[in-house]
Amino acid sequence: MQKIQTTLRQLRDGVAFKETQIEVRFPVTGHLHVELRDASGEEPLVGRQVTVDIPGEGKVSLTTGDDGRIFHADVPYQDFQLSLDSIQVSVPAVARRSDCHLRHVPDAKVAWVDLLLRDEDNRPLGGETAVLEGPGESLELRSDSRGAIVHELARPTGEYTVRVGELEAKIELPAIPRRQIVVLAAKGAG
Amino acid sequence: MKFHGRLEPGIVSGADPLLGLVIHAPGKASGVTIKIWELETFVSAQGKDKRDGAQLLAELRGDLDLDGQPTAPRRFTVKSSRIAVDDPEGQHPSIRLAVGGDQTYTLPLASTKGEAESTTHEIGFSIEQGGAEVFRSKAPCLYHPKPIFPTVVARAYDQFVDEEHRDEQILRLHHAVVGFAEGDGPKARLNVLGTGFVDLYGHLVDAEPTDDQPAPQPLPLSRDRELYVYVHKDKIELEADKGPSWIPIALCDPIEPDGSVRHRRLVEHPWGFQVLERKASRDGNGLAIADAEQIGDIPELPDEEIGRAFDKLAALMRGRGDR
Repeated sequence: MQKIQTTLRQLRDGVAFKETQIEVRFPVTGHLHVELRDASGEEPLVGRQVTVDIPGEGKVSLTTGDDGRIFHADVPYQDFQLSLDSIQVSVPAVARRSDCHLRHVPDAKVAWVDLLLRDEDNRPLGGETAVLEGPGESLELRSDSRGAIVHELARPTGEYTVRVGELEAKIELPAIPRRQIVVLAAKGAG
Repeated sequence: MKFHGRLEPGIVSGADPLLGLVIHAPGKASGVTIKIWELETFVSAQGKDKRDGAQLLAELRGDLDLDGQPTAPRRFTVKSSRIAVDDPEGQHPSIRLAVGGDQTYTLPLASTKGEAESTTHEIGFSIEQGGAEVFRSKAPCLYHPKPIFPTVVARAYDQFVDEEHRDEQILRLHHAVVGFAEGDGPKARLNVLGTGFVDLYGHLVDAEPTDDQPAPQPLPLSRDRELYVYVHKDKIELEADKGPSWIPIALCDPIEPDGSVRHRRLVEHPWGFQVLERKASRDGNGLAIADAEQIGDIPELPDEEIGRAFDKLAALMRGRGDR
């Protein structure tokens, strides 16, 4: 009897044999199927280049889809280290193609806007157009009657300036949703 | 022997977070211990953050076996289990862990002790066999309970007005104490987690506004635990995490899952009656005082303590409280 040691991937592609009786051995494998999300676990990371070292295959490049997912079949059961530019994150293999592991990427921070805008007299700046400036392009957002603006920004966290007419304030946008009361003052005040 | 598994789905949020333990390899193993951990890492507003150290949540001992197809996840038969944090009254937020589809364990999160604020948690697991660690997951799961930002409205109770027609208005400029209930029924007290202030617009913020300090900020509270707020006019010095305070839960208002707080208060009726109605929120007891003259001498109360609590409530609401 011919004994063949192979992998599930090679078996699917076909393995050569000479004898009429064969014994095929292959390790049970899973799949790399993961949905990558930002640090808060809320926003899928879309269109991101990912590289991963897969035993027997070497370095594999993948790109996350519109849902933040990558898929690569027939990988050993282990945790894999993914590289997204300079960010590293570990993900586990899954058993079935239909299983998809959700993974937050703590270093992939997306800014969350949840602001209550007020003027210097602590009155809500309701129904106003606020301009938000920070890393990247500026953005116009409209406050509701309470002066509230809630928005998910696919942009980095950090320092932003919010302007309503002649009033402005500097704010720090967080990596997880946090409501902030922002008091805007005339430019140059304080 | 190679071990591997994961906690699915990997990210959970909401009021009833459920993680599933899935073991992929090996096909068979006996004398296996699986330990579930709350890791020291978590995600804060700044991004990656760390607590003091990892905390064990549970230990499950049992055997691994094939469960149908060799490619299917393994069946883990639990022979004994130990939940690390004893929390009979359900005071800690917790996650649920499903093992093998039919067994579910509730795992209190010890890191939330003394915290009212909503924070994230990273959960991991390790596998031991023969006293040695044979696998430790490198891919932590995220539990992200969505924060709530309470707003307080005052609700006037008046025996001559139907429930649906009672007025609600934003409560403004009150001090607030936030905590959870300790004890049951009328004897329940507020275990203080923090203090705050109800601002001009009814938002529960972290401090009373002052001219020389930055604007107070909304308190991000945990949605996944039963919290109460005690609103009052006087400034009270109370330390957090010191066990049950003097504040009866009967004087507090529950924080609803959407963050709304309905502060029920005494109203002076034009006909001269003062009506006070409270429901002890944990056991549904209804208590009422129907005549202003009787405040301070309340008959047929279940015990002396609740009588004192109502004295305090009546006094505080009439603006002459000394606690």
